[in-house]
Amino acid sequence: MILLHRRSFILGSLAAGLAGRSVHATPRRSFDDPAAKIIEIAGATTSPKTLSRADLAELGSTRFTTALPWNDETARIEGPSITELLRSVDPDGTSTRIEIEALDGFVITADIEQLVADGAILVIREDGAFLPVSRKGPAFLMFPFDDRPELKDQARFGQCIWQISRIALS
Amino acid sequence: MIRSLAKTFERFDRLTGTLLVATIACAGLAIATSVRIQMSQRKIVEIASYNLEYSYARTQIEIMRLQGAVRDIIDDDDGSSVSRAELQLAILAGRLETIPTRVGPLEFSESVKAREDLRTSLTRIEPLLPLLSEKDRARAVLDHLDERVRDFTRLGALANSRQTRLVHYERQILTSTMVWLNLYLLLLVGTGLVLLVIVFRQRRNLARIAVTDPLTGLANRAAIQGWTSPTGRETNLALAIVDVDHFKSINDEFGHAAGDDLLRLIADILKRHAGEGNLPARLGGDEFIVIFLGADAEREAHERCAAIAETFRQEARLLGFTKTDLSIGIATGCAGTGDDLPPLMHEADAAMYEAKQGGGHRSTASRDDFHLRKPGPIEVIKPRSSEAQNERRVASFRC
Repeated sequence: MILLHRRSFILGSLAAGLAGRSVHATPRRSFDDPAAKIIEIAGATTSPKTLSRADLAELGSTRFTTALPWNDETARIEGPSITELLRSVDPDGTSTRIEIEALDGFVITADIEQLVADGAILVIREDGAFLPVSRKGPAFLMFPFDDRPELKDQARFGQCIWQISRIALS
Repeated sequence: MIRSLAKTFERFDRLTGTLLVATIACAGLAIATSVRIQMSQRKIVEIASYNLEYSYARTQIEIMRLQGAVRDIIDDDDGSSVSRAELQLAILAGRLETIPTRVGPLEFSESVKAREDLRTSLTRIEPLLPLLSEKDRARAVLDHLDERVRDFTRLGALANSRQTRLVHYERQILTSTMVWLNLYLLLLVGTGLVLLVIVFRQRRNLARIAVTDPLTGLANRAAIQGWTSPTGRETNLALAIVDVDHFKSINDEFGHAAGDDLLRLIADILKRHAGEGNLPARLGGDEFIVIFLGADAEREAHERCAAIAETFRQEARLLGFTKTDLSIGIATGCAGTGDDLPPLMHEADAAMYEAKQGGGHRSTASRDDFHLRKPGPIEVIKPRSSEAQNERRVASFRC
């Protein structure tokens, strides 16, 4: 019991010195650096490569504003569309399926043609700023739900994977 | 709108009106119940679509992974484990806003508290990570994270029971609502069937009224116009036109009610003496018709008309009508439908007028091959021209 109190005191006193600082306002970590090579992309015929947020930004940029499915808050988001990503990692257009994995091990698979038709993008910026991991960076998959309300269904909400760490085409 | 509806219902009899109101009420209730069922189904689908347990379990795993990273810091001196712990903390922080705090329409307050506690814990722990090589600090952080792990273990259990209870409740509503819907549909079908029976009966009544003379209850002129032979083909028949002598003077002397009584008497006599399978009808005013069918129709017509005339004479006298008799004209030929009858009716009518001009109380036929069974009031008029007769005979042959 005494030990517990002591530990609480240590936590409390250390945290007090950093009062007012939140998780989102922490100094930039290496994994939040836009130049950090953090997303591994493997094409069906090309050799795997690891890209940074900045690399992804160079592939192209599609912007839209939409309410995000996890908090219903409207966000101005941007990043390369799946079409723009494919132009770089699957120039021959041989891939039909995509597997996307998150930092926590969560995985989704999807039909590439469907994602392209739905206008999905890899979001790397929100309100102009690159996404840190604590804000679902380095990238998350998103659909233009506000522009195309017909896309709002459980299946597509379930495909909105965040903290993307690996993309594999097949 | 309501007033015009009420007026519409006033046109129906009480039973029909009640059934119509019941049908409309059942249909309305069925629609409302169906909407309620759809709402329940949507609610069940919505509640079932919340994968709360999974989300809480994943958060719990990420907290435990952070604990693992903290333990690595204790054992590791090169500082790389701090960076891994920072990444793990960021991964966990990224989950915060996705932690569900609602189950369908209900706020899950325990989840809101657990999420805010976790947010506070992460905010406090993050700056401590580089300092956790000190074991006491690290253990304090681990103990603190244990509380968060327990929070989410508890949340998972709560979510499971709460979600199950909500789904169970909505299913109960759905089941009972479906029972009501079935009941309303059964009632709707029942009232609909009864209404159908009423409509068919009403239609049959109207059809009967349309071909029935209201005064005498005999078939009327419309029935004669719509007549078809029982075989559906042309058949031999004899047609008698029956007319009351001096009917106008009866009306004038005794009044119209007495005239109506006399017409009802004739109808009654025609019903009694027309014979089975033959059709008596009132054409209008004091003019009646009887269609006799069969190979022996002509003979039967003469015999029965004689009986009709005699019976009328006797019964009319009993009622006090001493000056009236019947004049009857008979024509024979072939007919398949009511459209074939007018020439025969015209012929019989002419024969009847011949009889009337002869002083009344006579029966005359338009054919010369007609034999009286007995002498007396019945008389045969002279034959028609040989040409017309030949035509009739040809027609008879073709039947």
